[in-house]
Amino acid sequence: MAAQLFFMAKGIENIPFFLYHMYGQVHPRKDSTAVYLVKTKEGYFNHKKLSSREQEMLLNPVIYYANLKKDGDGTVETVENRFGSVAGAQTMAYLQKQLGNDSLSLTRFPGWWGNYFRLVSKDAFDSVSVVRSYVYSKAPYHKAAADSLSFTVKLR
Amino acid sequence: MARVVFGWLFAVLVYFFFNNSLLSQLQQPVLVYPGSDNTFWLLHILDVPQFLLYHYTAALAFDILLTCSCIICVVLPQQRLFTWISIIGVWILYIAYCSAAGKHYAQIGYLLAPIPFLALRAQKFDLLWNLFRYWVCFLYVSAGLYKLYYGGFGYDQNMSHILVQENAEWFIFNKTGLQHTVIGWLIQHPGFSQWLYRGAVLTDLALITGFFTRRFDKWLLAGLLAFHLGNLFLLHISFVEQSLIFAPFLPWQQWAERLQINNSDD
Repeated sequence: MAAQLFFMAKGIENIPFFLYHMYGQVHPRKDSTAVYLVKTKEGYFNHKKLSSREQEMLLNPVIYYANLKKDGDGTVETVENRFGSVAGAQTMAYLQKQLGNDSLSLTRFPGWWGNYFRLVSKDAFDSVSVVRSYVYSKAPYHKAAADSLSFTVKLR
Repeated sequence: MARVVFGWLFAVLVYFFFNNSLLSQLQQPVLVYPGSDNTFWLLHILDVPQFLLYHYTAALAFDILLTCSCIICVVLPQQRLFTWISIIGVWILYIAYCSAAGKHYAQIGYLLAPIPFLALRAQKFDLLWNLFRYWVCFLYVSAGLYKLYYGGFGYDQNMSHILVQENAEWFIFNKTGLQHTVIGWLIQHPGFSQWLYRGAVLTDLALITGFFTRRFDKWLLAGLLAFHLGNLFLLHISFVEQSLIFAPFLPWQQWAERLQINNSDD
């Protein structure tokens, strides 16, 4: 109980001490919401028809991948903060290798994503693209016309 | 009781299987996400999730071992070896899955419910089962308190904005139907939707009664079920994995008496 309260006060989740603060914050009004979509030759693939688990595994890593490519995920800095003063250079290099993602992993990501997409979509597309777009917050909640390309993968 | 809980856990694993979510079905993900969670860090430093995620044969062996252990726990609830394997297995599955998915999920019922069955004696089991019940109560009460503390409860547009933002993708593919009409209406009526949010907070906070009495368990169970069904309908948040948190609020005693069972292992 003490550990749970300690981690709650610090605001750090350390399982099994879970922090159940989802949807607790104020959600300010936004004019639009960013979304990632799968674009095929026949239009946008309806990933919302997949199960929650499949949707999670298909599109959350895309958000993570995009963040990693943009600014990194802060792991290197966190490792520095936590161990920088106590660990030697070799240990730090090992920790960063174990806890971070190198450029090879980033290069291989679209290929992995294509394999998982092929498994869950059960459709035979030649190639698909992952794009980022926006959905307006006003009814009827249309998608913005413009898409920005994240990556394209060949499936056959 | 062990048979029901491990049968339930087995059903969750079957659900994972049919939804391509067991480790061997993930196609060897290439990115890991340990976040800032020390437990995730420890396992990643030890190479456990990476080993299972990057090696198909290891992942397949892990999935088979976990599933078989769970079945053995249903068939032979008195043994403890496979209970340990099942529990360690589901925690590793959770960590590896979250790491590959790039997000740490809050669906944890299937991690907590089997733990009391590690107890060797009935008294210890009762203690652990009560602790599990308190743990669930605490998590939901804390969820309610966070919504008060962070201001979500007091902000009169919060639920409306949550609905718009969380349903953004869903709206692209769903233009009509009852669910669309209800969600759209709630967005257009922020006052009403915010009272739904406040109702959910009160449901979370109501679990504080679970610390003091079991008299209201059926109401707490109904509240939890309504809360998760509401989340499913409005925000598309599935609760299959989380459903095991309902277990400590079920009338096991009455069922056992009706079936004349004395041992929690049975």
